[in-house]
Amino acid sequence: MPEKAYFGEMTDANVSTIFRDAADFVRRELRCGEFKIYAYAIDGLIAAAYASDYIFKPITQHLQADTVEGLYHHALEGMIYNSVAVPCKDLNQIAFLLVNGFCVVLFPGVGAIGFEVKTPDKRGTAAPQVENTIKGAKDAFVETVRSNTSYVRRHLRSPDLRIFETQVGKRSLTNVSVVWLEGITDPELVERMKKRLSDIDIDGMLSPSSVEEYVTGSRATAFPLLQYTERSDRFCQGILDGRVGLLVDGLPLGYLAPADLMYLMESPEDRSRDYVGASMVRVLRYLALAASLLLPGLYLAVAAYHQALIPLPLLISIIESKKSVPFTTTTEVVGLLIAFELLQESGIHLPQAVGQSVSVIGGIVVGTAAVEAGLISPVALIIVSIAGVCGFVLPNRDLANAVRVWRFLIVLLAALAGLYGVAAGIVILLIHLSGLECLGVKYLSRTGRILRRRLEKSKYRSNMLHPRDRRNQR
Amino acid sequence: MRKILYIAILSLLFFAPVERVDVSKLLPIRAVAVYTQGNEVVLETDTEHKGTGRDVVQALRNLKKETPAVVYLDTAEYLLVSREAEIYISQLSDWLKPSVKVSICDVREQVKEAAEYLDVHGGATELRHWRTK
Repeated sequence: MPEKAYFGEMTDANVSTIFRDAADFVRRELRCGEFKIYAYAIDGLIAAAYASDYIFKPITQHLQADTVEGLYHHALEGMIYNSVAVPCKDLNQIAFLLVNGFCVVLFPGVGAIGFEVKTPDKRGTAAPQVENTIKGAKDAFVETVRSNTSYVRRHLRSPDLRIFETQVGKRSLTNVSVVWLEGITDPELVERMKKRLSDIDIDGMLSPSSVEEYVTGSRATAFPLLQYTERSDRFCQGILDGRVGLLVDGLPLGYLAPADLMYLMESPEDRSRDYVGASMVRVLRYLALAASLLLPGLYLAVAAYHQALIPLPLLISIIESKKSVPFTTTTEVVGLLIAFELLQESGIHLPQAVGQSVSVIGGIVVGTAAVEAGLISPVALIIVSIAGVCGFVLPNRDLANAVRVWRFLIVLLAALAGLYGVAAGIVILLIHLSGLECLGVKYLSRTGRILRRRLEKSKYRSNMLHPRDRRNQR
Repeated sequence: MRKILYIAILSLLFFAPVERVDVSKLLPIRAVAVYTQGNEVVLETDTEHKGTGRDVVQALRNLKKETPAVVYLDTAEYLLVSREAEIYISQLSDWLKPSVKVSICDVREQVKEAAEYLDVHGGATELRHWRTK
């Protein structure tokens, strides 16, 4: 409900005052016999055809009574045939219903009724853009929270599915739904999530980061503490695991909490292929994580401090390749990392077709030209490129972005003290990760199981989430 | 508490026992020749740099001083020692890796060519065997 209170009687003048100067506010006078009633709606939020067929038509054709009170009761009891009819208690509720796609009919001196005539989805169901799989489901979340809850219901037809809806944002009044499975999810997790939402005091919850930072308590970390997914099937799998889901109106995403490193390293593809193949890919993914994080730092450390660790033929090759390069290895690696980040950013902000061209020109043409001109050594270019490509292997973009930040830090530490710096960076990272938690669950609480187990052998849910029912199959 | 720990770890890095030499500044040496000239020991490399001194340590110091880049002996594959300089082999083993091949021959001014010859013909004893003798 809106935090701002509108005081006064439910009269035409008061309702019109709330939405004064709003061009999309629609007010209509209707006559039922000798009485005058009023209908209000927000243009664009309601489907005009539905309003005409299921509100105005029954009002003008069937609604008759001797008093306004009689009209109100007849309307509420079904003479206006609409599936959802909500009697309004006060002006606040009228305002709330209007901004949520209701048409409110005011019966002066008696009350008002809100009839749901929302516009259908602005965007139809589409295949996931980022988390696409070859064999998996193709229904990605859309911007409308109610459509998203319907996707969840279609995957989880259990009557135990619970959806708690609340509004967040004093001005945006964003509908947020907390989703969980009664009998599986730890009620403590649900309560923590609800409390986090109720504690949020912001004007608008419109961007993903406003959800993530406020719900997780905005820790000083680059690592994601909520897992997002655009796939409804993956969201439902998380709910089945005993996690709490979060759907936000306006965001084509579902959030799952708590999130830990192992969850973030899982890909939807893992469950759409056999366990042997999925396990191999998972091992590769963890190697890619290590390479993306450490490779530039390790290269810089051995090139600037510990040349004795480089095999002789490789060292000679590196020295030869760096003969004409006027920069130190540190400048070279840091410069290349910055160039790589710039290319990545330009690719994101440009239209897809142009972005790809910029990436090709930037990556291949400029890179090759820089090597041939002797500005950078091929080894440094290869190392930074491998680290960058390995970053793209990570299934969660937020995690990949965190790795990008830490890659820089480790490179700087390596420039400071070689392998000692890299080791210090790893230790600091582990201390940092071990201190993170989401909804009371530690970030590193589940470690060690990289391989995907056979599904028929996965008989228990993770104990980390304290599920009410640990067993998920016989 | 964590912040103190981070600061402590980062502070320790300033005391790390490392010396920074960028790989681009290294001058990789493939072959080193040792011979005597009068009362002095001469170290000559395949890169045509020389260092002289009363002993091997001083010759090496001079070699490093005279060479514009950083002499990197870890890449050395051949040690060419003249008969009269044989006594310095054990001292050189402190700076050269044990797998360096030692040849007793008097090579002056043509160290690079000698290394190329040994690339083809090989057959020399490794430095580690000299150390165990």
